[in-house]
Amino acid sequence: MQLLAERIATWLGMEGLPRQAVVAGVVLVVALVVATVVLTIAGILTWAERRVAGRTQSRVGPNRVGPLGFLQWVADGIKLITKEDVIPAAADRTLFRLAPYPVIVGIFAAFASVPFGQKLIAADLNVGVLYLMAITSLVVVGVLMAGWASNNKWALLGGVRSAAQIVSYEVPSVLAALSVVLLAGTLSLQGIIGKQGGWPWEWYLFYNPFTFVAFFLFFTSAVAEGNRTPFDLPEAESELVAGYNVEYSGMRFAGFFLGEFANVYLLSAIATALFFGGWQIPGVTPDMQAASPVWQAVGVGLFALKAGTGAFVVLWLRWTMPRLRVDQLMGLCYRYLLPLSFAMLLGNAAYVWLVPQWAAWVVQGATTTVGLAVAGVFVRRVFYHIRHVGDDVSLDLARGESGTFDPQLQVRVYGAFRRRHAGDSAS
Amino acid sequence: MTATIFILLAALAVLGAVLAVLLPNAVHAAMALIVMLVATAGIYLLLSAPFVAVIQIAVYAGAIMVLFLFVIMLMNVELRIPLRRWTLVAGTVAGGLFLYQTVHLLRGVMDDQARSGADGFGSAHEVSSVLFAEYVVPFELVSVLLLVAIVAAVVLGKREAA
Repeated sequence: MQLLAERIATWLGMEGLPRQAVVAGVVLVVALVVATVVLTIAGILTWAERRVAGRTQSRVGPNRVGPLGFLQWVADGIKLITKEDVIPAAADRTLFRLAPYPVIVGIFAAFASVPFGQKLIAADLNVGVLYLMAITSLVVVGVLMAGWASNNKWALLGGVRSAAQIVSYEVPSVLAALSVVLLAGTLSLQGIIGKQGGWPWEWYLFYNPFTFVAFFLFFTSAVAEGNRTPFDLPEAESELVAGYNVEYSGMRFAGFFLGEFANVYLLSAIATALFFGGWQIPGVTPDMQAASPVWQAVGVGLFALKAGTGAFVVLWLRWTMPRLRVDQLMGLCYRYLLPLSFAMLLGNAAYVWLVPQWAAWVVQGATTTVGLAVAGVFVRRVFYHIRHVGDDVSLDLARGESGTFDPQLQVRVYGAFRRRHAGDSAS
Repeated sequence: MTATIFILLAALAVLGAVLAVLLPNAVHAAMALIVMLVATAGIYLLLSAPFVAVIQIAVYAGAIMVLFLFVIMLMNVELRIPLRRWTLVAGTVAGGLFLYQTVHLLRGVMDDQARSGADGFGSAHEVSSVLFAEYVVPFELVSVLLLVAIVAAVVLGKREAA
């Protein structure tokens, strides 16, 4: 494993100083940079989530602090830092204080091996995928600690639910990721991206029907592992108030909160690396990209765009899907996702073993066509609904305008839609 | 540098292990055990065995300890087992015998085998090629054993429910 730190240390030369001290210092700096980037991403995602929620629910969302309310996350951060850190009298003080750290460490350490670009990776481990799966499982420990140490029945129930959920959904997500590892023949994330290409038909998503299904299994399980709606039972407000973090306030609460949002980006970034070709640019070979700083920047941008789209889908899901029941949650994992992911793994193994190269090209082309067609139909439907129902909310109260939103419009348009389609089927 | 990191990790592992035994609260003891397991994973990393280190964290710290915690919290284990004199004596004797045996065994191999391997020695590729070629029969036997244990657990769980 070649550490970025070692490369920087060699590059700087560092005459006279003991080399190991330099490496240690550079490691510290790289860690700080990664942590800062992750915190910024998580912060921006909290703002994005509230804007997406606003648009989804036909309201405005935060729009006062900065342009489009963009600086809201900074304001929230300052507020949370200055708030009192309340520790309940009956809590287990030591564990209560320690609990946010495993969560933060688990998620932030995972970012160390996220390939943001061809050369923009803190540590390209040769066990990359496994490392991600292993280090994020530390989150469970923190969640259980928080739930138990709060000495509150809602917190304990939330913590126990969360642990059961993360441990269960880890299995299908690892198995789905394993499908890709099987095809690439490497656990290193850069190696997996290197085996793909820039064009959609070179992505593992469209490699064959098994990987196509495996992506959806991975994404579903990863969303469930992140305790996001529709799988947010650990923090179901209607049952548990707020789940394992109910007793937390101030910066310790922010630790859990930012961890959740960093995890949303993390799961999108892993999906991008495994299934969407990572930083590969269409029509540009990795060698060309390695030679030119401009292509490097484009690659980083492309990765951010893909992962950002993934994160947006996760936010979108939260405000669109209703929450599952506890028994449905476990049933979904063990009755459907787990057997399916095993089937996809075996399917991929058989595919590698049996299908000759010329047939693989045909399958790849067919999967790409079908996959892109499905995506196209879906996007078209979404835009159709947005156009016909309207989501333009402008409640500029300062100017005394009440905007164009009409609650009855949705009902009327849907009625018209139903009537038109009833006419279609009659004729 | 390697020696410094090793001493830090080893101290952390020993501290975690001692606390796991001595802490009266079951949850605290489990947390100490997690510290010990993570420190051990760090030592594996120093021995250039990243695959084993990662598996150590995923399986022990991530899965097994979570199950431990889960059971402790669900059962709400409140009993604080007092350290009696005979448990101390029995524990010391058993631990001492185990330590003696380990040191004795290690002394034999220390000189020729117990140095960290070459590059890629502990990688996923190397581990799996040994596991699936040289040790494939024991590996399959262990899988069958685990399967039997799972089936037995399901059967026992079902009987209790009925």
